Amino acid sequence: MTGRTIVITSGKGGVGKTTATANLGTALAMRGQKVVVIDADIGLRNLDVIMGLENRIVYDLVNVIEGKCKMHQAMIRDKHKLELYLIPAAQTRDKDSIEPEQLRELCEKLEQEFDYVLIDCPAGIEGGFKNAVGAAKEAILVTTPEVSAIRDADRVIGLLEASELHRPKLIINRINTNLVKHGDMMDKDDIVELLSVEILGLVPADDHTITAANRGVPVVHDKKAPSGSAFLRIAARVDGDEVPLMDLDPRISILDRMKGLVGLSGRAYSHA
Amino acid sequence: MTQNSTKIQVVQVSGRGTNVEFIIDDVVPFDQIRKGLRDYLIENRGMWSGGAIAVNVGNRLTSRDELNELKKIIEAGSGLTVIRFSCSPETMASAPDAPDPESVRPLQHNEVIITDRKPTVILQSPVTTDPVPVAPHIIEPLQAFRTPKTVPQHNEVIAPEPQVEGTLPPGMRAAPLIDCSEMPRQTVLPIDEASQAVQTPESHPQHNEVDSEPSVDAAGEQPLLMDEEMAPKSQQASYLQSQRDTALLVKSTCRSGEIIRHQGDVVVMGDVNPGAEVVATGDILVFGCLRGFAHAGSEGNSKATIVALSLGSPRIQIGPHVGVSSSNGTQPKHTDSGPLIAYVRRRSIHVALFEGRFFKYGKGVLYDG
Repeated sequence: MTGRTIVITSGKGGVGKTTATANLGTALAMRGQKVVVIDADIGLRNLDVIMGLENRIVYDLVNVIEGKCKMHQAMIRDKHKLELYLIPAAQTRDKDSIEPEQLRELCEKLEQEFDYVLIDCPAGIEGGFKNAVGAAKEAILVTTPEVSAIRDADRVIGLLEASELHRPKLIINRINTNLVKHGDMMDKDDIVELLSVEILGLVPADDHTITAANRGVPVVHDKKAPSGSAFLRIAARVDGDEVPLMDLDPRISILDRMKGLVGLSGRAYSHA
Repeated sequence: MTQNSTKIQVVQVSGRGTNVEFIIDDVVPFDQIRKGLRDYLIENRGMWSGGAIAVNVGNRLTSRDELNELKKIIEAGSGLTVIRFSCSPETMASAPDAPDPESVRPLQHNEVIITDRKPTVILQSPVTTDPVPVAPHIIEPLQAFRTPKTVPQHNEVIAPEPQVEGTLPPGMRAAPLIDCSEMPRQTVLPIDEASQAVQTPESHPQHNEVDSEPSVDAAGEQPLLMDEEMAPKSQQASYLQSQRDTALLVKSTCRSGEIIRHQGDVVVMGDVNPGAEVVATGDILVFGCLRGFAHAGSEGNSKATIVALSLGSPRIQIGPHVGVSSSNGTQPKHTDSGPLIAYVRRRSIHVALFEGRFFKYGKGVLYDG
């Protein structure tokens, strides 16, 4: 079996790389794929917290790379008994503890066993970024509809192309439909036009994401959360299914609009 | 280059000043060299636009035929002219009819710091084709971004065969402009170093520059200088002079952090995104939206112009004159009006609808993003 190694990166911090990695990994596993997620953010590990696996960590990525333990010993299985494993980052080390080649070797080994190897890239474009990007064969870029995040994403696309990762795919996270509608937030078309990359998915801003992260359960498990279903659709697209982009425009729902007309609607804009 | 490092690497590039040298592996059998060299040249086709190259065969014992073959491969696979073969002192093989070094063409002094990307690999068609018909590649920018598949993702720098001086009318010149003396230096960097250079291009652009490179930085008042060794040779000087107006074609989007610096005109087929810089001693033409910094006439030529399908830069500069946008908006105002030209009028930058390069532009609008 030859899996796909995908790095999830953004440049700017706090746009939702880790959340996207956790949810994409979980969603792919829910689709029946064998997935391993690697937290490459050495020194600032978060992915384990988001996935609720913090208390099970014994060995970490640096231990594996230094040969202190076997690859399988560091892999923590997901709580929900999916075919989803986490290799956590070391908290007490820093980004220089590993080399891009070492991580690449590890990923090549993992590709033999798994369908998907997802690497959660640290923010920034320094050593940690190089480690994560050097190991991957594909890239997913996460951005929010903010000028600063988009500027960084633009820079990162250039760097990805320098590392032979052409055609990164874009996830736009935290879209506030209300603001977009009033022209106060960048539209997905504006972003795609500026970055000129293929869009992989749109994730609406959603409080469920935050509560889910705090509980340590990726939001895709929450059937009601719009962001969860957005990540499921993104996973389907990653997996090769043709799924249309999520329609984030709340006006589209005729039922809601009619409800709104007769004064019944409390939910028309609740996605936002 | 990463792809090279995974294969057998038979060619190494080393540059000393303006002398660039191919170092050919001396252990691998000659057949493999032949193949490896061809592959290398195909892979890096856009990189070698012209100029002189020396070939070092190291400890290999080579016959004259073999050397001639190498020369043929290199000259056929790129625009380079092999001027010299060298080898380790123990293996003194006679070099083939190496031309007199005096007649060697000077290397051009143009700089393309596209730090973030690989220089150019154009696989489908040889770059040596006619430089003029760029039309098939032109994509309506808006359309292009809706369908990103058609956007050229590689950074392609068209670099055709060097043209003999004066063979083309001045307007037709669209010649090769990658400084051979420094491009290789970027590519021979090991990955780590290369990406380091990538990350802080602004902090050490001199890393990519040749020592004798005339500074075209900042205000760029400094006129074009030539290497001391070249200066006395008037013939070469005129060649260099003639190369100054050549254009650089950048067939991709210029992304944040990339600098394109060029002696002559620059044509960008794509957007210039915020954070990117284009500095040219001639005109700048952007088939897309200009949102980054553009400096035309960087050596003080106020007659230079900037043409773009839409102008959204916070700051543009023509010669010494700076146009600053007062608005903070990220969206350009003139999106649908058609191509715009920015020019200097009464010592400030004005913008008007583009009606041709030599049209007499009237009042125009003061540049304001």
